[in-house]
Amino acid sequence: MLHINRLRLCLALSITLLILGFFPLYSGLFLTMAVTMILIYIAAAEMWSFLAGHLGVISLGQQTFIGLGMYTTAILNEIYKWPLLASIIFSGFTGAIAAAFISLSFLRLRGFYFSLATILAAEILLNFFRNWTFAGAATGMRLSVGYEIPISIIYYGACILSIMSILTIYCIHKSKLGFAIRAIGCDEEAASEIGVNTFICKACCFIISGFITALAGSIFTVQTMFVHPQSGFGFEWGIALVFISVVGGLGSIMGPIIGSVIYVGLRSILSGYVGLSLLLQGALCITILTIAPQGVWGTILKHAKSRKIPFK
Amino acid sequence: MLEVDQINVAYGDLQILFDVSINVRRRELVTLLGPNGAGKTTLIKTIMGLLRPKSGSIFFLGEKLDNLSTAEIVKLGIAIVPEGRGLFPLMTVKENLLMGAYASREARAKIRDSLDNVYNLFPRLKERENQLAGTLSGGEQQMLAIGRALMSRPKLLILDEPSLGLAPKLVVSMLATVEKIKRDSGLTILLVEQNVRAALQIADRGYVIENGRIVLEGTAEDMLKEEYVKKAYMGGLK
Amino acid sequence: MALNEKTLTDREKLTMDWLIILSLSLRALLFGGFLGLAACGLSLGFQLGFINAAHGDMAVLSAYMSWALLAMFGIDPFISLILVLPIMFLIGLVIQKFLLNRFLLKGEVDAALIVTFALGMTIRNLLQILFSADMRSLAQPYMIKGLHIGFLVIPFSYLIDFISALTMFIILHFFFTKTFAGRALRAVPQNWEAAMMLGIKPEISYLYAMGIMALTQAIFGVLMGLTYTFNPNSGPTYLLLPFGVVMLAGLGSLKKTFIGGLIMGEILILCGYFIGSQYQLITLYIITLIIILFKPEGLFTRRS
Repeated sequence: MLHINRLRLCLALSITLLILGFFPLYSGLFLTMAVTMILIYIAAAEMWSFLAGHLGVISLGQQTFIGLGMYTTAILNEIYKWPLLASIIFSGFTGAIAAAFISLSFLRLRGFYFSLATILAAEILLNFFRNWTFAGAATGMRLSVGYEIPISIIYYGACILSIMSILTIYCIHKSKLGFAIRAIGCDEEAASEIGVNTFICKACCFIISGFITALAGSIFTVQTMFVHPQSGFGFEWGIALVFISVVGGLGSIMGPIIGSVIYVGLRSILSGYVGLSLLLQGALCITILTIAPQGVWGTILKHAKSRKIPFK
Repeated sequence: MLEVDQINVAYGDLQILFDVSINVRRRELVTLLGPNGAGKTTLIKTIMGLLRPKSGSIFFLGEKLDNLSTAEIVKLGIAIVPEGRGLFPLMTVKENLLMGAYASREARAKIRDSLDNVYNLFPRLKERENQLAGTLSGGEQQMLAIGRALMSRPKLLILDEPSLGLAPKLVVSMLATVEKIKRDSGLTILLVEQNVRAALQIADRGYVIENGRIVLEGTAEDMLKEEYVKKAYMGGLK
Repeated sequence: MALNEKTLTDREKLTMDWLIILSLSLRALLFGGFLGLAACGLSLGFQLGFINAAHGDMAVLSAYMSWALLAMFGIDPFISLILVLPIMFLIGLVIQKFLLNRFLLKGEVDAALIVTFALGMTIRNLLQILFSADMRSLAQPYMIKGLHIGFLVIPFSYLIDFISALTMFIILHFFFTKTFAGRALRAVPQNWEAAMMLGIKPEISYLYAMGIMALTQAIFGVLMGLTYTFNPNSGPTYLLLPFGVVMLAGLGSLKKTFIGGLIMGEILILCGYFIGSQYQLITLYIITLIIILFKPEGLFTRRS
């Protein structure tokens, strides 16, 4: 992390929080919703970026958790009439359980088998929910509670989630787990030789990411008021997270923030030409990977201070 | 033919070779001796282009090897019998041999002749032509590895610890074969070995490397008489 | 009289059921050999240590190329392969040489994976812009006509698929056993250091692998297009199905991949019959997951 003056960091953070806090009171509906989306993406992308950048765990199927979060919230709240907050929290746990299953089963395999397994999981769930009439099958479900909740509340929810996500990463870094992760990042074999259980480390982080990503899906569905197999388990989320993390800067905290802004910004500017914006995403991703693999934030840092972002 | 000139080689920050210089002249059998971890394999890997020296140069037939890729170095006429044989276990004996001729067009053109030569030298390989290399015994695998290296019709043959894992009787016959190869075809050979006595008996000249530095060099006869060599290796290792 | 009628109808029904299953099984075998072809490229990549996440999208791209040729010039899809094959081959080589090799040669497999992922996404979106998201098909009337053997009906499209796949398998077999390049590709996964010391260049190996991948996927894509339907989002399916075959068959043997394809084909089509076509894919995916969990080296390999 950048070694800025502590005082200046606190000041910057406080100002940011103030702005975030008062934002919805003064801005229009559209902008608030856009920023809410940015915050949701930040929450999910921070986790993805952390996994991929520091642990070399590349999950191309994060949409599994988004979709699970979405559907759990929808089913619990809409069908079983659970209170919304409880549904959301429970969705987080659904994501964590799924993440536990996936990580414990497949992390012991070679890297790319794991990545493919994550895609597989997402596709299985996609097909499953597409056929599950209880949850609306291919047409999806409506989340009527969404109508009653003001946009600003959802906004604050997203705020809290993204702050939670960043704080979690920060706490992991400071903890013993973070030490283990840094060891793995430097040299995985050496790390396991000194007693670090790389498997458990990766699994733990993956489970945490599953929890938060599912929560992101929950809040997303409250905002859109709609669940649909394609929007939950479709590839778009997986692609979005990859784009955000790669373009913003893998492994850093600022990276996904910048990346999310770019992502949502790009989509809004080119909203008339949907195909074009998607095309640009792919092209931009590839360009950044080839020319500036540390992403936007990484390039900024390179000019400020030399730093290597681990990318095995 | 091969000139290694004051090279320094390191793995990252860990330096393995310090100002190492060796020389192999045409038609010579030079042996490189030293204990485990002395840097012998590192030196070989550097010659083959798998590692780059921090400083110093390597010349082969006048060509500088520093910036050449492994494939280009092999094409110049260096063949290696790697430590541990380096065979392709799921390919047959014949396929392994054929792969030896991969590098040069000349080797591929004369592949039939080369194959016959190798089979004459190692009749056992002919018997096991279609057997998977991984199922051969240690001695047979060593024969196959040497035969494969010969398939490229090299100018310089490097053997990296060929006696490793072989029963003593096999070591004797294998090194005798190596000497035979040298006599019959006039091939230049660099033999890296831990088995000091056996190596010096067939070599013309030798070097001793310890802790990444050349500590001794001379003709094989002189080295056999050398007290230092006698004490350190004859009694101790083998 | 009434009792006789009833049993006759039942027996007839049973025979018909069995005939349907038999004809489906035969179709499945034909399809499976074809599926095995798609698995070849993926398997090669795995052995050399990289995954092409755009594997399926390359097949879809080929299908659309063929479709464009059909729509614009009326060229029969099977004939269009003459054009599509070399174009896809070139595209594959260009991607490998300029995009992927720079990561793979430095050992950055993760970066390569993400690049292929982004590439797949780009291809998908490009196709969507150019051709819209509608389902397309390359089917021609003569392909739906079938070969009648007794009571069994085999559509021509399946026959073409199988024969093409078998031909490709035979060509690949010769490539891997009789040519230096092919043998080199087999050698590298067995001992890459020794391979390098024999003069085998990793860049060239990767190029060959990608070339084969592009060719097999082109054939698979076009033929898949005329046997079934496709749209820009079919890519992941064309990645995950061959992945299942690779996991089932294990790496390293053309024969095993072929047989793996046959088995997967059987499961896929018989599933469709017994459980319903909407559960075909999900069953295969779950089976793949189970194989990864319990026998990742493949069902035909003894654990070493």
